[in-house]
Amino acid sequence: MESQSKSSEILRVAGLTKQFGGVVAINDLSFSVQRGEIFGLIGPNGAGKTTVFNLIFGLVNPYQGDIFFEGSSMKGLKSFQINAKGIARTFQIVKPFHQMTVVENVMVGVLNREKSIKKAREISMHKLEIVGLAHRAEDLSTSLTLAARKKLEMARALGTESKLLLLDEVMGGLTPSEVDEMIEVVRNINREGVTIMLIEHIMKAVIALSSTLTVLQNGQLIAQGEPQEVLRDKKVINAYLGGGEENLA
Amino acid sequence: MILNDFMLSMIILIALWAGLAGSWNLLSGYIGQLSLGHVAFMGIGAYSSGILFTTYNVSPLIGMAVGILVSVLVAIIVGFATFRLKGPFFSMATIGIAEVLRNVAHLMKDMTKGSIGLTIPYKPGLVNLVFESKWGYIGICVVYLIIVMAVTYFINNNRFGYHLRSIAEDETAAECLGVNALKMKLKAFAISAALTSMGGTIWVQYVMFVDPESIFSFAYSIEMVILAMLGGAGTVIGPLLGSLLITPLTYILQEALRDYGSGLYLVIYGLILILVVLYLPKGLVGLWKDLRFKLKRGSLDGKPIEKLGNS
Amino acid sequence: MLLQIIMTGILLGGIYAVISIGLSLIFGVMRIINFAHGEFLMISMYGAFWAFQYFHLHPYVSAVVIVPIAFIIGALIYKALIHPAMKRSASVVVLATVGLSLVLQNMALFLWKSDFRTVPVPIAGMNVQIGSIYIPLSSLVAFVVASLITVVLWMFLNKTQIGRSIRATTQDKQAAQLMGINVQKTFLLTFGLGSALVAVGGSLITPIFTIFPALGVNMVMICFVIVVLGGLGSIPGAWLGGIIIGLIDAIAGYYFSAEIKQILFFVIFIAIMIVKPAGLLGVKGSEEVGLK
Repeated sequence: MESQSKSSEILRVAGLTKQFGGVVAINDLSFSVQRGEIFGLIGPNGAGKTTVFNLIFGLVNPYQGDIFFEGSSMKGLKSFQINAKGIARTFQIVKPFHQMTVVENVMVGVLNREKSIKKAREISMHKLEIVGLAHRAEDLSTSLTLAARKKLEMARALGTESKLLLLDEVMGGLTPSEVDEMIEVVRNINREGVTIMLIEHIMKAVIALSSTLTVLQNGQLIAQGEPQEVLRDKKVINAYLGGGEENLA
Repeated sequence: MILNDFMLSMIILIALWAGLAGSWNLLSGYIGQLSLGHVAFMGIGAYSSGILFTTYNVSPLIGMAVGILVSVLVAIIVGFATFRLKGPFFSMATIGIAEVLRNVAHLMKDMTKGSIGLTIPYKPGLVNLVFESKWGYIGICVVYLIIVMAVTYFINNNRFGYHLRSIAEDETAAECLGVNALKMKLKAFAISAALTSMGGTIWVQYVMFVDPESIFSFAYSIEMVILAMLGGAGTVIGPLLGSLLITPLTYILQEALRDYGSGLYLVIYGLILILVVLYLPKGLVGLWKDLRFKLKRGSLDGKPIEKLGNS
Repeated sequence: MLLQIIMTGILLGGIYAVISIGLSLIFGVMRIINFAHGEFLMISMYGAFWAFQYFHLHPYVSAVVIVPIAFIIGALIYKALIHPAMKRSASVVVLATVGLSLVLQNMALFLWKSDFRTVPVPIAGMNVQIGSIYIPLSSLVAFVVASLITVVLWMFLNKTQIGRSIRATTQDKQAAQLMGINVQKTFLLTFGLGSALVAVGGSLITPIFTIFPALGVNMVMICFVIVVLGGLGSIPGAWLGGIIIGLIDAIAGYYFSAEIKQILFFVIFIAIMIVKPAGLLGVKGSEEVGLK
């Protein structure tokens, strides 16, 4: 059980601003993510969603404002340090380790906390079970379909025993039935106690999973709250129609 | 018998070069940062033991240890400065390091005797790492090779090996999974440099002579690369396979083409290098693995062809 | 005396520049370093030498034939070696061009032996004198031609259709492709052009330097430093970088030993890559290619 002294807020983004050259990608962004929830982050293309993930993960430096994870600032930390603190992510374009088998892919992350190869393998198998890939453990990661690779990304991230998982468009490129499957996987992970932040375009998944929804446009927060309310918000609808996104209806 | 003597020399060279290539392999075969200047560490090892032995009569075993220490230091400094350089720039930097050391060897004429070179005194004995019969050299070279292969094997089956492989594949993804890429790379570089340096010391004790031009030779760096890549970069046995093929070939070519000019065997080297990287990227070991996998599973990725497309 | 050294340095810089421009262009467009660059130079110089030996052609004259041949050979090497290597990985390109360098250098050694060759044309001995400073005419010609090439090349890249498509490919390969630019053809052209430029440099310096098979090895490190200093992919940068390195070469060569000079070049190389990887005039986006 969580100790009473831990606050319910696991991540807080405060006044986040980032410029690339002359372009302001993220503009004075502030929000907070509650422990245990599934935080949906949506917005038209180019709104800056992946940039937010990259900023949280120390892949983009420097920036103004600050990012707090469990109360401590992540500013200036390198990716592997941020991961050690308890945040993990998947990538929009999946990056499996090609020359390794599925289980070895997961072991890479696990081996940061676990010294023994044998134990790491056991833990990795468990993570693979959560995402439903245990039967492919010994196959080369290159032999997996897109949906399976996405699951592998998640299993890998899980291997690092993170408390917060950033999912970057996991549903992208999946068939409707694969989307349903993935929704269940994400729910499974959340049930294990992992807080999830999700960037997503597939509205079915967004609605099915998110406990709160935050909408970004041009690097700014334009709406936040309960999914159903947010999606009816005029500003949000305009943002999507204006940006040429698929209909929200 | 002359033939026996020749074969003994071959064994020495095969084992030694397999060890050197294996040392290179620990950095470049696993991490994919291509070092083209590894001869720098061979030179450090050679000069460390050479100078200490000829001038101060210190045992080359101690000289070897000194060489290892210096090499590790150099590797960490160089790695720290150059690891963020991408592909060709890192390789250029490593070539540069070897060149710098070659010039330094010239500049430190008082200690290294510059172009005149250092001649290792003939004082046979284990402590002096000088042997009367070739068998002594075979002994240390084989021990050296075993050490290199053991270290490679150990790393392979250790979490260090997993992390190195992940860094080689995708450094960003590895870092996001908590791998401290820079620290790992420095470690690999240091180990690789240390082992190369050992080989350098053994080399100078065998050929009994060292001067800047002969030890800091670009051809030696390339030889390490070719041996490892032909055999299979990133494997335990690859460098040995490569050495078994190339080292005798080098000698035969050098003899056969001697009348035609001293550099012709390097033309063959260049061609082998080009052919290997274009058509045999995983080396002979990789080729063998692929063939076995294919025969076993009926297709390369473990799935019967018809089933491709299901998760 | 110092003035003479500076003049020598500037002229030397012009020579270095004309040799390095091709390398910079190729890197700027294709993001690869041709490790056999020095050998291309060496071969073009031997070409000029043999043209002089057998046909009594002055190097400036034989250039008319050698430069187009170099373009064609460059294009062929691209097709046969560079293109397949690029399809695999950057490391493969490095090793493939290193292999090529070995092959070319040692074939030259085998065919033409290690004897030093010179092309004794009259211009080699002529000097222009300004005050107490001697300016070798051959070096002056090289400097002037180098500067001209820089300007012409810059105009070509900025004002012509082909040139602009080369520049577009430099900045963003994918975007260029979407705009209908044939990236492969652009690469082929660029590599051929880069090779031709090296040959121009070779013809210019044939009256000045001695020719031997290993000359490429000495030159290539200097070219690397120049290209990095001037800014990867920048033609004016290669010119500027050449001048600066030429000056440093002349001054350091006078006051220090040859060994220290070599070490100095390497230190400059590392320093630039760490402190200002885009170099002095680097094109946008080139910094990210030098550093991770």
